[in-house]
Amino acid sequence: MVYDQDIKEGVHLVDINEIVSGSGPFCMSFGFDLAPLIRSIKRVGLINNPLLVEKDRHGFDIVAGFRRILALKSLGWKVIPCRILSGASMSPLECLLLGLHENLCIRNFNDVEKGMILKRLSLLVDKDDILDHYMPLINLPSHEPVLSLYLRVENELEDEIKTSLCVNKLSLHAAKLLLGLEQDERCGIVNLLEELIFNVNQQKQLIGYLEDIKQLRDVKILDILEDQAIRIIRYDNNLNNPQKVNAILKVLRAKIFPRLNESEESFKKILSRLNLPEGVKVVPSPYFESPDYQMVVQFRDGTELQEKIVRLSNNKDIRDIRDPWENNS
Amino acid sequence: MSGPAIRKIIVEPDAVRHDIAHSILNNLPGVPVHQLTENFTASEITGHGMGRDIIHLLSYKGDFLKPCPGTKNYICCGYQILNIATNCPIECSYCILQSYFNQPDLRLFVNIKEELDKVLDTIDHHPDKIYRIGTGEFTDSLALDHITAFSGLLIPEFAKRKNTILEFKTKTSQVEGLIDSEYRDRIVVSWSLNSPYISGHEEHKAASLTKRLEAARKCQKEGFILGFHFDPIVCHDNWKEGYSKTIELMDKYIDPKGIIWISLGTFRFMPELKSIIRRSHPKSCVLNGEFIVGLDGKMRYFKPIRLELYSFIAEKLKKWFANSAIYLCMESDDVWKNSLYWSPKDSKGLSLFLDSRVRQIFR
Repeated sequence: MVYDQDIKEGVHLVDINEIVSGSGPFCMSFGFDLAPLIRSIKRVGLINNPLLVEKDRHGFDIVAGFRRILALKSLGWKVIPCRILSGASMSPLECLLLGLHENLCIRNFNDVEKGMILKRLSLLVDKDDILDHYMPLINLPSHEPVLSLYLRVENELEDEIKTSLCVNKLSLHAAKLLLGLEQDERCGIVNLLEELIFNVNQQKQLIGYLEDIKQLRDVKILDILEDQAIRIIRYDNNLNNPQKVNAILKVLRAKIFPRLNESEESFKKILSRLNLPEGVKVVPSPYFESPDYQMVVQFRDGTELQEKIVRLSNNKDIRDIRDPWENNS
Repeated sequence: MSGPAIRKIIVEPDAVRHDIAHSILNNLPGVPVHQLTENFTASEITGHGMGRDIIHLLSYKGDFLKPCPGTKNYICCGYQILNIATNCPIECSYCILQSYFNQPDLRLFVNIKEELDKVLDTIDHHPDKIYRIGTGEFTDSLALDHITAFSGLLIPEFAKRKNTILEFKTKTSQVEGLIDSEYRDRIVVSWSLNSPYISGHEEHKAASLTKRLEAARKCQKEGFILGFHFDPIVCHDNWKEGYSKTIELMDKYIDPKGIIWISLGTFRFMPELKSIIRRSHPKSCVLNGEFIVGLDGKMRYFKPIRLELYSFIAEKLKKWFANSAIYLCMESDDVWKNSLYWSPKDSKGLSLFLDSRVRQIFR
């Protein structure tokens, strides 16, 4: 518990150079946009003073208010009015919890920040405590694999990747998949995700396909991403974002599934030659795994249905519908 | 007798009252034993990992005889599993047991002797039904037989029951326990086979193909009926030459007239196994292929690839021995027809076919 006597009386003006630069041991902020805070301080001034703790020898660590201090620095402030905690009476855990609870009142944490909190806690409390008490506090389920994932995100991912995670260019699931890759591979993939918007499933597909091709052809992921077909798509100004994403995934998929791809193209050609009535389509099962096909007929009334049935019955080309690999064998 | 190196034995509290537990302990002198108490969990001793060098003695609380889980939407053979143990010391990179991570160690069910009566009772109560039973579904039937002597316990009981066969399926050459038995009837000894490349590259602690087939020949000479299982068939570079080579080896060592069945099954796996294999066996080639999601949710080769694999291997086997009883494991009717040129139509049909095979071989 923090008592009043732990906070030195009043607000103190602290030389900005005495505040340890960098995030410090109690920071839980990442991936934020400082601009709104800077604008706010410019307009109405500093409303809540940052909270600092004295370091052993000299200077102060930030307990709460990292962003405020960064904003004030960028505004050119040389001294900052702060509340000071006595370093002698405050344990690192108490400082961390002060900062945590101060933040919990006013905002939600992003996934990277949750990882930062859990890492800092893991140095100070035991795992069971983190699982039982602190994970629910930051809206995480009390599961060891979840804890492990967040710690790995914090410890292993590069800052640029964490930034992508914070701005939702990268999903947490995709970040987990990236953990299995080398640093340069990760960064190459994230560069693509910065350039084009892949949804959660598409991110998963992209990383899965890249890993499979890497394994299958013994090539580097960066080389796959530099493939000419992919480069052409990326720089094609006639394609919009969804078109580029789908085209890239299609190119990658064809590298892993050449025979499936060939069969799908072959089947499309068979269907295109059938001259089916409007509103009639032939649907294979996924991956042609079931031997059955379905014909879907859209119609307004019985008369239209009958007309379509008669047309289909007279269409001799329908007999060409078969498993597409049979055409190739 | 050689076998996997065992570095530790865990004994659960309720295991100690079974003779088999003491017999196993006597067969492993000098190996440290950890007796579990009620409050002490095995994972605290095993640590993380599969525990393939740790034997775990326990009383199994479930049913010892269970139908093979099979799979939906494909034809299955109606096999029955005699659940004597789980996990396996052979460490094949493709093994599905890797995904059962919440139960590590080589788990041996030491209450088998006491529970066997229930199993035999079930069999005896249905004298017109053929029971095709195997012990090699969740473990290797013989890898630990020199320690457990389960074959010596089971063979005498099954050998005298005319409505059953007991199959020991293995990737080892550990057949001494079988040879030492005086019984031959109603027993099938079978080997999982693969191409030499897959066997050498992916079946890390299995006996070589030659050693397996030498052991098979030994068993055949002793009067045992044999079975073979090409499973999982893996599409890899030069797979045709590879599987041809294996069949040539079979021709060298085995008289095909003494084979009750040969099954073929291409590699199939639950999706969650992929990341496990990638992590545990990064140099494995088994995931290199066009795997699609099958009708049962398992990853399988795209169908024309399976057709090619089955057709080729089946044709080679038929050329070796025209009367080979070849069947497909977990496949669809159309795959049967397009690769073996016949189909049992459904699981019941396949069961009847294999039952008739039993009647034919074990008159």
